[in-house]
Amino acid sequence: MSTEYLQEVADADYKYGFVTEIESDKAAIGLDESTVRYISAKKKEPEWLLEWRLKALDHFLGLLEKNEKPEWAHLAIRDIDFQSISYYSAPKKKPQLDSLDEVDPQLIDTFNKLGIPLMEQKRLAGVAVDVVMDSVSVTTTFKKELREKGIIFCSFGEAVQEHPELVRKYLGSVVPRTDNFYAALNSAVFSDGSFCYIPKGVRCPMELSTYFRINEAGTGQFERTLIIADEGSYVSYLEGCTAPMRDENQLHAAVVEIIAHEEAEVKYSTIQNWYPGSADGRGGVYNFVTKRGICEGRGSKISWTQLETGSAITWKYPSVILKGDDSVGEFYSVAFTKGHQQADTGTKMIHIGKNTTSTIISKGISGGQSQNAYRGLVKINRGAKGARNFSQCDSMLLGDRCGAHTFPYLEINNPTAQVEHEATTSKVGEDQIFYCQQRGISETDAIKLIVNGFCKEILAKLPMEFAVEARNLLAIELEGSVG
Amino acid sequence: MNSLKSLETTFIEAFDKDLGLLPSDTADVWTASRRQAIRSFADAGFPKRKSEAYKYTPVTKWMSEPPALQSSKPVSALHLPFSALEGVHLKTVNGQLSSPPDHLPTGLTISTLRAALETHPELVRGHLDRLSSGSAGDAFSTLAAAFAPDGLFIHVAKGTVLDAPIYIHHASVSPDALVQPRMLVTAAENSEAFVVEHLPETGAGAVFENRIVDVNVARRARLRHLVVYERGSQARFVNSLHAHQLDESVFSTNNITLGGALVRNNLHVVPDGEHCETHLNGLYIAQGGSHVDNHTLVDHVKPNCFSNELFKGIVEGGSTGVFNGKVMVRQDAQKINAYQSSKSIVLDDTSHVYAKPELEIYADDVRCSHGATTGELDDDALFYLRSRGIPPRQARVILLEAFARDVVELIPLDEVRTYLNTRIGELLAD
Repeated sequence: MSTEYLQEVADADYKYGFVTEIESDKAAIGLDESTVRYISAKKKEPEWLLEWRLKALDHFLGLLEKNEKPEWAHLAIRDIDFQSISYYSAPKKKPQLDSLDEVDPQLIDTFNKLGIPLMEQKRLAGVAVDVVMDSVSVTTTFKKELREKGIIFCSFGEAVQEHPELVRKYLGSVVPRTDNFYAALNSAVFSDGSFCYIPKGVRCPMELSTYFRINEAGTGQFERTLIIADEGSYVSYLEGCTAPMRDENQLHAAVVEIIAHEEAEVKYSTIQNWYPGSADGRGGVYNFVTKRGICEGRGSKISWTQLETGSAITWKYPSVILKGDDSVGEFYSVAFTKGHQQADTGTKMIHIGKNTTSTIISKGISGGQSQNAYRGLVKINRGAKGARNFSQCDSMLLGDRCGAHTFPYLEINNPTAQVEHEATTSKVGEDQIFYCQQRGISETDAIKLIVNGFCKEILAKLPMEFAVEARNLLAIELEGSVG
Repeated sequence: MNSLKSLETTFIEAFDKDLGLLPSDTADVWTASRRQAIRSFADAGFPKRKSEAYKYTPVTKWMSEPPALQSSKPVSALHLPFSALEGVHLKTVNGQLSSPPDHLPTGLTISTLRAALETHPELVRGHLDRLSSGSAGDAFSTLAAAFAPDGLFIHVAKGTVLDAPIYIHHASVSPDALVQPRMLVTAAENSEAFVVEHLPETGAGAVFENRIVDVNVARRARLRHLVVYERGSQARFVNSLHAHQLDESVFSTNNITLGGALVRNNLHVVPDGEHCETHLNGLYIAQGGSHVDNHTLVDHVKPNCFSNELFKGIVEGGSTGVFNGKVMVRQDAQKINAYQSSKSIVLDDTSHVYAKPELEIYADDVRCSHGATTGELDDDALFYLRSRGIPPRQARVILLEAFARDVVELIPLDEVRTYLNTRIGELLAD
């Protein structure tokens, strides 16, 4: 029966669980001032950045001492020992690369296995990729072509060296180092990440993409992404991530900051596929991410699209601060949990400017013994005249041992605001399955079809290359949990 | 934080002093239960600053001026609009039954809770245990359970169908004081009743009523409940209702809040049987800087049940409206249909609306949904009325009345509906 099929879907294997033997430099285990100094020295950072990190560390250790971890999420988190993690790991062979041909063949092989054929993409001239392995950005493709347009797309470390004025101006301007527990941790120990600057009036000719991979055991990954879209520019940015299968939990605490100036548009898409842990709930990545964008200028737009299928624990709320008048914020999300996964994810839309608009569409699918929660805030400030929000959160349950939850927060302080929220929870309809079966579609295919239809709205928002990957990923995920 | 702590201490000390007046005989169930309740209160304390349940209504706001524990002053004659209606009429003063009616329909028992401890021990014992243990309800409930000297008991016997409602007119004669009443309503198998509670303006100033209403609806019983709150503009009210339903029962509660400075309705229903039907409705008009918080929980623990919620609010003049509703479906509680809707209108930019409609679902074969909307009056609708020669002020009132009427229409009593519609019209026209 359908339930059996669904049960099986919930037990699929993780495809990306291999480990690559690449020699690496690791920081000593533990976290104190010397760790931060070590990372900063490794990266040859200027004094101001070291100081910034140290202030963040101070704040983080203060929170840790008072045990002020965020506990409001619908998550059961095993105690994390922040002193037993190595906060920096870099593939050892790291020459300054000019072209992909110089990249460690092992690495290329790794990314080929992941389905990110760097070489091929170079040829197809489709997507510019920045690859971050463990803590360090390994390669960025298409740098030259982008440079001609004046676009800066490089690793965060490089940006600190080459464009310190931009980094200094924008770093922490959207997610301050004291923002929350995990953002403070990231600010202290972030190792690398991507940096992107689109100059005035430039429409980025290709998708920019970053692929993150945790490889080394016993390490955490703390990357930081900073995207600045200057007046009238446009960029579409993709992010993907995987990790090997390991018994222990790995920590991932990233920060993404986006600044959109007047009339600029940033589209940020994520396929999050960190290792979710084994079928009985051992191991998996703890994913604590702070993502936030600010629509700084009039008429700017930030759009988040995410497909969350991985991680043992997901704690992630990509947000938009709608500061400029007429600015637009969007959040489209599919979160799929199975096995013992737990997800508490959603968004925050903070309306400050006049006539600002936000749209939230969230689809949660839970199977196995997983818990999947949407948590979102829509806040209309007193001066946000004519603000408009529409939110829709639908959940689908694929079994009777999982949970699907919705926790929206609506805070309205202006009478001209129009805020609407709707949410539904249901299971895969037996009548729908019956209808498909009647037409000769097998039960398995019927369920895939229905789940795909449920998510279609969101998947359609992903850029082409990603949409295909996303659909495949969802099919693979279902393979194991329905069946 | 510290002030809350000291407030807790004040209550505990006051209780100890108060207890000196009670018989120290521990065999006295009532006293023992009160003692247990104050211990539960002391353990848990008031909800802290970061408490999710009180996120938008911090307890410090309630307690900025700690209310006196005792005070009494005569009040002016009450305006009791429902007193002439057909039905059983009860009057309470500070939550205590003041004049038991001489004639009651067969099958209806009305007494004080302490008296009922003798007549219906098993019913009252359950109620006492639930509250004093502190496992259900928050600090406000346990506090009321500790302090209430006695309570009101209403019991509808097996198979009794009451044709007319039971009206309870609650008077409060203690200006600026904390009054903590408790009430237990039990509807036995196959019975049917309608309880209408009215809390009119009594001129009792900043009275703080912290009350408990416990409701038990037995198999196939049908119980309706309506609360009309119209106390003065300084009054404070914590209304903790806890309802427990058994198989095939129907329970509905409608909470109309038209007065008060601070009102918190804690409505908690557990349909603990199959094929139950539950309706939670509410309407509030928050004006003149008042704060109205409706906090609901429908906890589906058994399969095949239906629940529906509709809450509407109009907020103006620097007031705040809060709706925090949760639908919980426990594991194996399959085939639940649960719906929830919250709608509010904000009329000016000094007012606020906070909505938190939640779903927490652990069973797959369910249909649950919630919707929440907040906005201002529809410009098109206003224009339509104005184009037909209706002045803007009046057009506004017409639209607001229509908005409120959705909830009022659910009350199956013509006179009560008429009264409420008139009152709402008056409030909105001001």
